[in-house]
Amino acid sequence: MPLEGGRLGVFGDVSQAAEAVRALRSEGMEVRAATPAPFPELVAALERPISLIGLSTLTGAVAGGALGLLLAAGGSWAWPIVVGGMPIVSFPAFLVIVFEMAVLVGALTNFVGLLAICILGRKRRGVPFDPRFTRDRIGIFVPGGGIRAEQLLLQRGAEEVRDVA
Amino acid sequence: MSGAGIGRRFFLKVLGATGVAAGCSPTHAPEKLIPLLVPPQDMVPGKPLFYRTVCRECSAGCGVTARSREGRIVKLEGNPEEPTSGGALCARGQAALQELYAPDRFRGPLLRNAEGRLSPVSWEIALGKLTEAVRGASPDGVRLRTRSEPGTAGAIQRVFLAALGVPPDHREVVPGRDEKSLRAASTLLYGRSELPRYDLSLARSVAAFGADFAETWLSPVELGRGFASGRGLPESQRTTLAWVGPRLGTTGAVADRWIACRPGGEEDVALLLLRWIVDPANHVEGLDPQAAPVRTALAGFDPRAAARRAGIPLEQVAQLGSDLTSRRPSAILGSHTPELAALLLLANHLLGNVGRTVSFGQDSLLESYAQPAPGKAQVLLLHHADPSEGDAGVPLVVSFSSRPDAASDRSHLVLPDHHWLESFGDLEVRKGVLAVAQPTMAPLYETRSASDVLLQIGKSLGLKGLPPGDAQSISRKRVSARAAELGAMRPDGEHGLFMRGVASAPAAPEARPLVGSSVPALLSAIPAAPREPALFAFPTALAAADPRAPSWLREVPDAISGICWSSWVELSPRDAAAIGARDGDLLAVGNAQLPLSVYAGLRDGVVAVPANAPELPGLRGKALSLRRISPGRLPRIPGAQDDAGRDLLPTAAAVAAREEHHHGHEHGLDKGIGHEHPPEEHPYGMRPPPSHPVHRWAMAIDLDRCTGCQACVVACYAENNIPVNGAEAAAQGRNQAWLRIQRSIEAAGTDVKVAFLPSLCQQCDRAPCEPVCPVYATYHTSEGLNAMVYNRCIGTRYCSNNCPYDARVFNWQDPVFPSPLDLQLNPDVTVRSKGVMEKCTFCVQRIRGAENEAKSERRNLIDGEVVPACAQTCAARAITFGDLEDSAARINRVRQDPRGYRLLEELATGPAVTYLARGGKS
Amino acid sequence: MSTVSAQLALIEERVHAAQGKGGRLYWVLLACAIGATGIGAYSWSRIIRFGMGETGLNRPVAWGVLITDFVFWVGIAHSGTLISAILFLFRARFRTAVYRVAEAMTVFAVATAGLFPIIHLGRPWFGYWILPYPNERSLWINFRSPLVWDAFAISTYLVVSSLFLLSGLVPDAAALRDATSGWRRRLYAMVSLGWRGTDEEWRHHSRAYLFFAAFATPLVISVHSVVSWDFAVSVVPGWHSTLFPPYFVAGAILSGVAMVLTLLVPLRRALGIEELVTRRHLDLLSRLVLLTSLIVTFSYGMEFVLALWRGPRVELETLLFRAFGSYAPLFWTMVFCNCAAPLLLFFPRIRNTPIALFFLGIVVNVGMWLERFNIVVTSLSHNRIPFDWGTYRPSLVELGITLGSFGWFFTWFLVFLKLLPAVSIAELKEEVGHPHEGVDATEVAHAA
Repeated sequence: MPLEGGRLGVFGDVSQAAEAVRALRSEGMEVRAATPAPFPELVAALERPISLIGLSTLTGAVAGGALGLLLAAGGSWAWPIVVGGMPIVSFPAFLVIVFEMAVLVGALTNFVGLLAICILGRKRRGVPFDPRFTRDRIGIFVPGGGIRAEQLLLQRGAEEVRDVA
Repeated sequence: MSGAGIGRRFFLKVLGATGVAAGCSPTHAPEKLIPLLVPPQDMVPGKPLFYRTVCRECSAGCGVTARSREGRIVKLEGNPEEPTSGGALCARGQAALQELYAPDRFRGPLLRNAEGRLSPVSWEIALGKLTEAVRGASPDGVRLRTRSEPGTAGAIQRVFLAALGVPPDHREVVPGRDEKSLRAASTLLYGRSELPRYDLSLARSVAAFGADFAETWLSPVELGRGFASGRGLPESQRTTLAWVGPRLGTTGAVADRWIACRPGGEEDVALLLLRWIVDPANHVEGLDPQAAPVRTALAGFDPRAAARRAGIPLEQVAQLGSDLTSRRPSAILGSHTPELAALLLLANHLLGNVGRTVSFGQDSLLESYAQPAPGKAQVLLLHHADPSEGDAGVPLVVSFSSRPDAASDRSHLVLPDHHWLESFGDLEVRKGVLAVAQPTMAPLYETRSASDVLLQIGKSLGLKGLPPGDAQSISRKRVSARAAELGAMRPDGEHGLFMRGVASAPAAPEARPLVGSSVPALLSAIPAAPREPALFAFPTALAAADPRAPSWLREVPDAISGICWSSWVELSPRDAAAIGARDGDLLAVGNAQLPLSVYAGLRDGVVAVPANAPELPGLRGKALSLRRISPGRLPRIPGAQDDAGRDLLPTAAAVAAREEHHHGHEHGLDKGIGHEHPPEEHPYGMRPPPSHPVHRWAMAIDLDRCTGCQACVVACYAENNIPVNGAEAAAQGRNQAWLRIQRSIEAAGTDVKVAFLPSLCQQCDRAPCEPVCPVYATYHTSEGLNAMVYNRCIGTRYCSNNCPYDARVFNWQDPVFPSPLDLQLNPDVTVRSKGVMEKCTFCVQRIRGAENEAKSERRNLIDGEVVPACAQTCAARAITFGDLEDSAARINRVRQDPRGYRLLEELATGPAVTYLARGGKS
Repeated sequence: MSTVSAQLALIEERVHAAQGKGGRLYWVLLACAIGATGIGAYSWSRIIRFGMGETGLNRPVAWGVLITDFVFWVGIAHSGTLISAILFLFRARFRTAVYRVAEAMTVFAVATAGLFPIIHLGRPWFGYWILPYPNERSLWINFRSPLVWDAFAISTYLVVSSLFLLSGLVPDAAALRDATSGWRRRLYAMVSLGWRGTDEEWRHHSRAYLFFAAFATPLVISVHSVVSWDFAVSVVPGWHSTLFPPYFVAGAILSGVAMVLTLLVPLRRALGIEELVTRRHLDLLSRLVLLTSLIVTFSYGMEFVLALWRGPRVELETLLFRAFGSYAPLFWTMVFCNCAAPLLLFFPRIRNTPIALFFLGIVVNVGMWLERFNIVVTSLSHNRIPFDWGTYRPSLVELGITLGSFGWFFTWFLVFLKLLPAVSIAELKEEVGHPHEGVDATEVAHAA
């Protein structure tokens, strides 16, 4: 993946990393992070907007519910057979189908949406790969960051800072 | 039921189908599915042909309509034009089809070889053997034992024996089961050996002394029908039934009164009854003048001692007497012994029943039941008759059995006769009623008519005086001649005779003067000593106990005990408790081991065993010791003994009271078992009932008429290809019957009530089974049927759970129809495979058939044109079937009967089956 | 080097080490599980070949052990979702250490339960007819049938709980991917879906995870409600009750949490993760068992109260048959297992004794299996028409299939243990970032 250059700081402590993020951002630099877990302190420091993945999920759920209704009502109309003296379209019975389909399609769109959005985001807001970032270190990446960024990272306790070409 | 509807339809078909030519040469059963190059005359694939013939399963001689499909008979029904059957057929008669297709039928002649086993031989060898033996025997050494053959077969036997020079008393006729005593009684009282004819349709009260007239006695279809015609009526017109005997059998179960005498105590009860009738204190009016000598003869009679001997309270006799005298004409039946038969005939005579319900002058008297000649036989021919102990050592015993039976077991040579469905014949059932038998299909195997065998041997021996031609031509000539003699020959000639299956010019009843001197002799002949045989053999309409019976008769459970595929022993609850045995335990009875069925409808101190149990001969005449061996597994249909207080079988009075209650109070659905308002008046449920634009099929079952004979169940098996699953499956609850006779036994001390509930799919308006099926394998048709789509069913069995009537059955395994029983399968009905659900369809194939026929004739269906197999064969006419959308239909009238109620009405299922409650005291 | 990163590394090592443990015992257990599955498969093959007659079912009792198993396994499934989703929404932090096992249990239990509706069909080869699919005869299914609801609910549940498990696994798989080599690395690379752990990914992941939880929570309630409707919408006395949905959900949670306890107690020992899954976790889970047991006890009582209060007489008769009829020993065993035995959990000492909890979990699950058996069989056995009353005795084939279902479940579970992290690495790590709240993880660190 082609990645823009910048400075990558490796932290071993969440608070220090959060401190570094705040410092970098106060100087107007764009900051990205790679972490083994979504540490709340760091997340707060990054101040990223809330994900809008819910929109796709909601759309999926509504569509799924509608599909469920269509399936149940349409299927019953297509095969209009009297059972137990019930009306052909028995809404109370179909509510179960509507609900299950809403959850099923909603959950599927949620997952597919997550996949899609992460693949897209990886291109837009990537962080250089380091196996430690999924393990025990926190990476703070300043794209296009220069000496100043390196200074700030080191000041806030980065264990090492790399210059990514 | 309008006989006209069915008669017409049958008539048209028979007209189109038969003819003497067709009757003489029924087509062979096709064994391969290939188009016929030259199709046999009259045979249209897919169209049934109907042949009329006569049932020979018992001596009653019911007319039969045999339905043929592609050259094989698939169903037997009664002949509505013939007065004995009246269109109905009992369980046994219908199961004759399984005798025809029995897998163990003899394929050809058999000769017992050196190892003592029967091995197949050719007809030439077999006939040669018999010819030589007859030639070598002295005329005195040839014997023939035969069942009653009052037609051509008997005539040929007599001619053959006469030509051989054999004296007539060497032909021994085995009388029908109950005939012997009745003839003896008639001889005693009237001086003539004559079989009376009972017409219960005229009787207003009936007393049966162990005569199970709805099951096996004399002519069960005719008697059952006659009796039931007086049931289902208001209390004042209703025929009452009193049952005298130690055990309530199926017939006894429908009785209004039970006098539980000791086995053998019937004579004492009969004497007590006679004494009560003639007792001036009882003011019985209209007694026959012969009452006086009876009164005199009974002067010294001690009623208390007799009641003690019979083991009954004396006041029961008074109740019985008042029933029979106040509701006249009455009929008193019974024939355990000649004495009993005579006493009862005398009682009938005194009450003026003779000439009304009991008539003489109608016996065809074609057979003479002479005492067999003494002496040893050299050749013994057994024509559908059993061997006896005295036959041991006869050098050649020949049987004409078509299946392994007691005769073939003992014979050296078996010359298999045609089944009666494959042969010609005639039977003068009673004077002036000539039933005509014709082959309904070509013989399945290399069998020969026994009459032809006799004629052929006669020819080989060069006998003189034998009639020319074969049995077929002789029979046809005789039938035509006799019909002409009776004046019953119509313009359609012999053709019409075979088509109707009967030539009828019934003789009028004749008066018979009582031979006065016989009375004191009779009354003094009664043994005074109390007899108490512990063993009581009771007859059953079905044959659970008989290992050689057709499988339908073994699979369909005994109506009272629910047992199938096994013999059993019955004890009263008290006696069972006394030996520490529980229902289902295995008991040692004498030297036999039998599973125990505890039955409250059995008198204490009696050990009852079905009459067809193979263990029975070993138990007779011995002191019986009873011992519990182990808990066993009784092959019995599971289920509770009674309705557990759920009021499923209310009496008419209870139904009326219930209606009263509903009109008085309004209340909701939550009162549970209490039945709800009739839907017509008070809409129930949340939704309106589904609409039925053309037909709405419905049924009404009159429980007051139902005698529990199970003929309908067997008809259902035959019509709907229901597999026979065997003993283990039955005990496991896997009996596959679509229609079952449920029975309820409620016992409070000596007051025992048995009631029957024919249970089948109720074809509900709002069937609970339908909405739960995930794949629409069951739904409500526009004709109101609860349809079952076998090939859509995936077998979730949810419908079965959700059917409150438990009407659905599942195919737990692939059905097995051992060849050639598969030839009996009805081509109009699917044979279901394992894993699918099935249930009663109201015989949808018959509905469709009739609808198609009406359509092709551009007319509407006629009420009574569609008859399901169960309703068709019900001798009691308890089942009414019809279209609710046809306002003139009988079913609509029957459903209005105040006795009508529907099962589990509080569930708002809207069943199409209405039950009419039993009458009698609640 | 900071203490935080040391803690993070330690968590990962523990989890990682856990996967390597087990040794011979593991393979023996796996062989047993596969063997049991084989017995189940053979038993089912007999049903396919010879028909449902191989079971002990009959005319009044057309459902038996197989449906009992179905409801049982659906019930087992429920606790997983409860722990992973509902407790997630309630921010109950103690779930962190245990939810992965619970969630995996859910997926495998649903996968087991889902087999039974097919196995118990008379013609299983047409099982797909229960799904709506376009066909040339435009035959559709009956959406009014609870069995169709079942098909929808169970398949939705399987899909959603698998997605839930998978999305939770992604960061962990990435961690493992970066710490291993060879085929395991390739496997984890696949499961991790290219996860890097960037803030962008976490941003969406956290949100999406929340939605999964939000879906799963009503789903878990709906699924067991739908299962209860299999019974409740029928007209069978003993089934037809509005009490059933809540009663079944509570029962499901009871049996599921008990199963979690039964699995966790030996697991934490065998895998050496006692520091990750502490006694406090077990204590909290056992309180959940106690709570649901009380709810279930209340429901048992309510059944009788409702029947006595205004219900039809048959309803009461069915319940009395259940308690005093031919299946009475099973009923009272059930009462002991589900109502009496869990009362021991009022004592803190019991709650703090893992081995006691292990056995209690088994006792409760025996009880819950019997509960379903009692509901299914006794109600059918004494249905409305007494003339058709009958009894049912399971056949060896049905017991074989039941055994097989355990084999099938444990086969998957054991494979899961070997391949995927049994504890959520990422969430445990997240706890490290909460020095004031994340009691558990710091306990871990202190223990280390």
